[in-house]
Formats: sequence, structure tokens, C-alpha cells
Amino acid sequence: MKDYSKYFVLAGRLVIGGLFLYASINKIFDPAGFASSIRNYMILPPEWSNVAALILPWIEVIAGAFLIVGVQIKPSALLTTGMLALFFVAIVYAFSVGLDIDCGCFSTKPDSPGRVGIYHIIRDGTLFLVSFFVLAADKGDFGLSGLVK
Amino acid sequence: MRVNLNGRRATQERNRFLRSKRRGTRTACLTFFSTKWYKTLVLMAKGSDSMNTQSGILIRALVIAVAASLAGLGSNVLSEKPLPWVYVPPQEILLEGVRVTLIDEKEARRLFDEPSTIFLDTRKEEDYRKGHVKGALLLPPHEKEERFPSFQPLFSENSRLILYCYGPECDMAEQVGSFLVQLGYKNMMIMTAGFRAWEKAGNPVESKGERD
Repeated sequence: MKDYSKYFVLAGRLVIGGLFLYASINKIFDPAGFASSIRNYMILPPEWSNVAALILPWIEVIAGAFLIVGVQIKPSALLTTGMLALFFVAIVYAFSVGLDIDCGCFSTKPDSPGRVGIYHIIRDGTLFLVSFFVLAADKGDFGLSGLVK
Repeated sequence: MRVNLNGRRATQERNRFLRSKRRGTRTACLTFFSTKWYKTLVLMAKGSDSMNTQSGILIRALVIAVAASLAGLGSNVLSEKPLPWVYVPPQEILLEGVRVTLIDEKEARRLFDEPSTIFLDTRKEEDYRKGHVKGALLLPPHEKEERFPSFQPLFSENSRLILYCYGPECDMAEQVGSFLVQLGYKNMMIMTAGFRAWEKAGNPVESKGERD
């Protein structure tokens, strides 16, 4: 029987990679806005919000691009899985204490319609599982290094 | 014959010397290049099997994260308006040309005991009902015109108004602040950390209806 898992891994890579690329663009061009979103969660000390806003989107963009292109797939999937776990904890915390804030997921504008809710928890949880699947099941298929070989 | 022997010995000596020199150079090179960061990068580039173990994947992820972080910090340095690495909260803001002091929950707690202080909750009514600063009045931005006349008798010239909403970046307190400035109230402050920080600090809270 033919093993189709590599196609699912490829689909997972493209979905997670594409979302991370898309999510990071706004944050890279508006780090101050993203820093403000981070402060709203009240998890990190406010003093650290700027440096986190400068670093996180770049990890997102590089990990996302690597997943799409197929370079360093497992380390990139480890990074996206770790970040999604982090975002998941932050969103659950914000929801549990009733913070009426923008999730800061894809946009840094305060009036964006992304108020933290159960929808965000389900979406982030699903993405975490997809990313974890890529991390666990990837065997290097459809990767750039495989093509070169 | 003697000459030949001497010549052979000399050659052997020279070769031994060269070998030891080469060995020394190799040892030095190995010592220099076998530092872990270099090894890691070389093995990463080669796609070595040792880099496909769990710890190898973790190391590669860390290298990518560090490189991305440096790219982020570097791009910030090169940008037109670099963001300071450490965030310093603003001390005051201008509302309709009037300077309004921004305070944290500790300063607000200190002022809470002063009789001239009045807290104004600018959040949604449902959140106000669940819990608010003890004695605070509800004045959300979208109901400010309707609600304000009933509060007006409570305010005097000496009243110090402390406005708050949910958190640091919520602008509802500023919207209400601008409205009050237009009405002539200038002695006001905004508790930027918002109600959650007030509650988290264990300061007085009540969940019943507003003060009448």
C-alpha cells in the first residue's frame, strides 16, 4: 500500500509555513504595534515587550520560509510548534482572565476584529497539532536538500 | 658512504621535523575549528546524520532562532525609527492640549485613600458589573454623554479623577478623558495598567452596581 503520509506532511508544511509568513509581515513592518499587543497580554514584563516584538516575527518569517522551501524542516517545525504552544498558552490565559484584547495574531492594529475568544483557542490548538505532526512525521521528502542530492 | 649516511640522516631529521611541525599545525587547527559553534554549522551544512538526532534538531533550531533574532535586532538598528530594546512607559499624554499624568496601580492605590479621588471605570457595563475598583463610577465612551450629567454633582473643582479601562493599551480611558477635558476637567490621571492589574495587586474591588 502506498504511503501517503509524505503528502500530508507537505500540506502541513505549506499551511504552517504560509501562515507564519503571512502573520510575520505586519509584525516586521510595525514592531511597535506588535509590542503593544504583547503588553496587552500582561504575561511578559512590559520592559521586555519591545525586544520580543523585534525578535519573534523574524523567527516566524525564517521558520515559515524554511518550511515552505524545505530547508531545515525539522528544526523549523520545532520552532513553529514551540511558538504555537507559546501563543496557545497566552491566548488561553487571556481568555481565562477575561482580557478584552486583540489577539495580535495576524494584525497589529488595535481595532482589528481579532478579539481573543474560543475561536482563537481552537484555531491555535489545531495549528499546534498540524505543526507537531510535521515535526514528528517529516522524513525530508519534498525538501530542497533532497532535490539537490 | 659516510657522506651518504649523513645525507640520509639529515633527510630523516628534516622529515621528522616537518612531520612534527605539520602535526602541530593540524593540532592547532583542530583545536581552533573544533569549537562547537563551528562544528554545528559545518555539520548542519553537510546534513550530517549526527544532526538528525533529537539534540541535533534542537541545536539546529537554536542556531536558526539566534540567527533570526540577530537579523531582527540588526534590521531595527538599520531602520529609520529604531525601537528601543527596553520599553519605557510614557509618563503623561496630551488630551485636547491638556497634559494628563499616567500612573500605575501602586500610585492609584495610594491616591485611593484620599477623599478627593474619584475613580472612573470606562470599560463595558457587563465587565463593570463583574468587578471594578471599589467606589468607581461607570462611564464608558459610548455612553459618556448620557451618563455624565448624573455624576456631575459628585465632582467638585478639587476632585481628582482617575480613569481606567482594561489594560495598558486600551484607549477607552483616553476617549473619556478627552471628553472630560472638553468639559473643563483638568485634574485627572489615567491608571494605564487597568483594572486587571489593580485586581491582581489585591486592591479593593467590588462587584455590585455603581455608587449612587
